[in-house]
Amino acid sequence: MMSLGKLITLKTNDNEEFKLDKTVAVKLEIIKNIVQDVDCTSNVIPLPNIDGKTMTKVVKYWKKHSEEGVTEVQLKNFDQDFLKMSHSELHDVHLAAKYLDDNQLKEVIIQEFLDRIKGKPIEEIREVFGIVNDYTPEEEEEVRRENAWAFE
Amino acid sequence: LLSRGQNWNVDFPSRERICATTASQNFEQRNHPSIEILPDECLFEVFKRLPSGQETSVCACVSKRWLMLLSSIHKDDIAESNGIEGEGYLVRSLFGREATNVRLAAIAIGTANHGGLAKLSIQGNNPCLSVTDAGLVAIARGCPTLSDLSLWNVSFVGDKGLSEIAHGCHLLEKLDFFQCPIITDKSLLDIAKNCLDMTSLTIDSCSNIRNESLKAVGQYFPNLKIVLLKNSLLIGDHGLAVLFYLAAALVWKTIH
Repeated sequence: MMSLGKLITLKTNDNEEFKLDKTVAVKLEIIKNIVQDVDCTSNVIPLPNIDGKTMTKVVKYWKKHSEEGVTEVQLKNFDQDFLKMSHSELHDVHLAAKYLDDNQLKEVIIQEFLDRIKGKPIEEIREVFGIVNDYTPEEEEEVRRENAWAFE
Repeated sequence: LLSRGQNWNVDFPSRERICATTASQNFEQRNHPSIEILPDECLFEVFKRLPSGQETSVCACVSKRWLMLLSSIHKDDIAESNGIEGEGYLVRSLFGREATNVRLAAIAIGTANHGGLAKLSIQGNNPCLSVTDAGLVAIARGCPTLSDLSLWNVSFVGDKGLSEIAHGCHLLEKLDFFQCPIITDKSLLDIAKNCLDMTSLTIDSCSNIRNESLKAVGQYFPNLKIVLLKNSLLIGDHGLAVLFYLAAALVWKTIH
């Protein structure tokens, strides 16, 4: 093992390993707690709730956002690109961010979901997100009537 | 900063096996590339950030699940408050079959951002889809402007719903209960402590309201002018005596 003590290895539930600089990794609340709680001589932290595919995305995000000298514009462009994924992939990353207690990443993803909903008509939201309309016709009419002002 | 693990090849067989099981677990999800896979908790976070009442109303029409989730959000939790302040002016009356939780949730979302609900009257049991505490919770969370609430014949609304009303609708001035068998002193006490503008209270044929709440009513409602009590077997002379002693502003009382 090279530079033992400086690198932390995160191991996903499908046995993929990610080596992270300890100074970066401990910025995350959960990693910090694990490092403090257990004897970390092995430096391998299991992430039982995250798969390798998702972790690759998370680590890509962390890496870019902790780059030295990176500008706001670069980060904005990166985020835009980063968020180009399916709803379910986005959801997986959200779950991972939640598990890792990464508020910034969580917020970015929630905001992306919001942007995908905002400004769309009802039918389009249902179609884009594959939502089953579980209203009875009567119920739907009542709800639409009560909220009719929003469609004027 | 990082390098991908080197044990990829070593672990390949087990990795493949694990992938096979997770792949089958995920099959259903992948087959539905939709936001429906989002748990309520995540949708909740998204909904809290909806920028306007208009967007909220549009989302409420998408599905019943979305409506019920939206109506369970506390106004305080919304990042940018887009609700109305001050008094509402809208009146809604639901009779029989109209009285459902979905209808109440729709009212809560629809009026909250467009005028504000002032008066709500719910009458009669819907035999299939009765109003329950969940419907009242939606009103409590979405309609802080409510000043007049009538509950007639609502067998499935109890203390949970009414306590939420007590905490969400501080402007209540008029309350009218008729045949609300599972409402007890507990929630009436919450109302007494939180809705200090109460001027009129009617309790008719509510079998679980007792002396204790009358004491609270007299103690906490300084502006109470009208009290009507009918067919309330568990309210005795002691409760009434305390009520009349404490409620100084009382001008009209009817007791049967």
